[in-house]
Parts: sequence; C-alpha cells; structure tokens
Amino acid sequence: MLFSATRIDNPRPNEHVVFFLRRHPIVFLKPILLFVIQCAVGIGLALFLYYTFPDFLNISTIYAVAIILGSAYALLTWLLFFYGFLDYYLDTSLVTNVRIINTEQNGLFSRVHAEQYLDRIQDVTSEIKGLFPTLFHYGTVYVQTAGAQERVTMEQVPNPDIVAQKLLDLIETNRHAKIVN
Amino acid sequence: MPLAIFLIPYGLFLLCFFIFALFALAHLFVFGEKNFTTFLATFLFIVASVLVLNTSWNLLVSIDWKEPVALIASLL
Repeated sequence: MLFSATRIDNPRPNEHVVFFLRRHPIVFLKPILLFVIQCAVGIGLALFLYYTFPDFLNISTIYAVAIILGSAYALLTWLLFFYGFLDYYLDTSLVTNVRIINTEQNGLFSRVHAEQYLDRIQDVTSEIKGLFPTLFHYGTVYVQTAGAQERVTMEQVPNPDIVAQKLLDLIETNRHAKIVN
Repeated sequence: MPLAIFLIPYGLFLLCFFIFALFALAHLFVFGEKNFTTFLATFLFIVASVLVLNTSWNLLVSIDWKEPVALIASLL
C-alpha cells in the first residue's frame, strides 16, 4: 500500500496532519560516502591488477574469476547503497493534532512503529549533540509519556528545538480544546 | 574441471541478490510514500542493476566455459 505524507492510516475523528518529519538530508551523506569509497576501492583494485599484472588477464581462468568477482562486488555495493537509502527514507515521524506516529526502519527485517497520543505526553525535550549536528542544526527530540511506556524518539530531525516547541504548543492546544469541550 | 564450475557460486550469489533486491523494492512500495522520489529511487535501482548485469553478461559470454580450470601452481 502506497501512502502520501499527508495521509494517515486508521485516522481518528477530525484528525489531520500537522507536520511530517524525516531525518536531516545531511545524514544521507554517510551512505553516499561509503558508496563512493567502495566504488573507488573496486575501480582502484581493478586498475592496479590490470596495470601491474597485464598478462594475467589473458589466462581464461583468471579472466573468468575476475569478471565474476567484479560483477558480484558491483552488485553488492549497489544493493548496500540502496539499503542505506531505504534506512534513511523509511524513517518517518508524522505529527497529527491527535498523536505522533513514529516509524523507524532498522535494516531490512526490523521496523519499529510507535504511536503516542498527545494527551498522554508529559514532556518534550530536544538535543543537539556533536559537531555535524551543531553545524547543520539537527538532533533528537524525546517525547516522554505518562506511565511506564517507552518514550518516542525522533532521531536526527532538522531544527529539533523548533520541533519540540511546536509539539509543546500542539499539546497545549489539544489540552485546551479538551477542557473547552 | 571446466571453467563453468565458477558459474555455480555466481548463480547462487545472483539468486540472493534478486531476493534481497525484491525485498528492498517491496519495502519501498509498501512503506514508502507515493511520490517522485520513490519512483526515481526504484527506477535508478533497477536501471543500474540491469546495466551491471548486462555488462557482466557481455563480458562472460565471450569466455569458453568448457575450458579446464588452470591451477595457480601451473600459472606461476
């Protein structure tokens, strides 16, 4: 099932999307760098073998093994890069006027889907820690709920302080609306 | 022992690659958004995979797979 960022699965009455969050784009630089390094290593090794042992490739056994290994390496590198993209792209946080829906993709076979209703939230804190997060202004937003329930963590989101403030405003508006009703 | 023996592990690798690639694409379709980025990612992944597979095929097809495997000791 394909969904858009503004569509909610099993929406509650009068529920609408307030904002949609994904990790900061700079976070995707890590899989890109890894992919570039893997490509450089592969191409470098191929060129090294080609220029250092040019006669070896004339031997059909070595030529066949080299082509097979090169093909497998290229496909594996590409697949790992695509997995890196999925890990980035499928981590989302959807904030509605009723709840927070946080989805985290950990590899291919682990997906954590957490929901917290705004009226159960007790505290929202933001954290910017490290050189890159400080430079590019991204960080973690912690949403603490009442009781022993696990807190929702929005990792590496852009402008975490603004997100935390918006969440607090939304919680306040939600509580006020409940009191009025 | 013919050179074709090397095609067995390569075939197994390709099978694993296709399974994992299908899993990845299925994840993107099931959990991804319906937008241009999803389309572009799917398109680029398939195109690049086909390019690598096509290049590999073109290089592998010229090899005589019935030729016996030369042992390392005999090469040196």
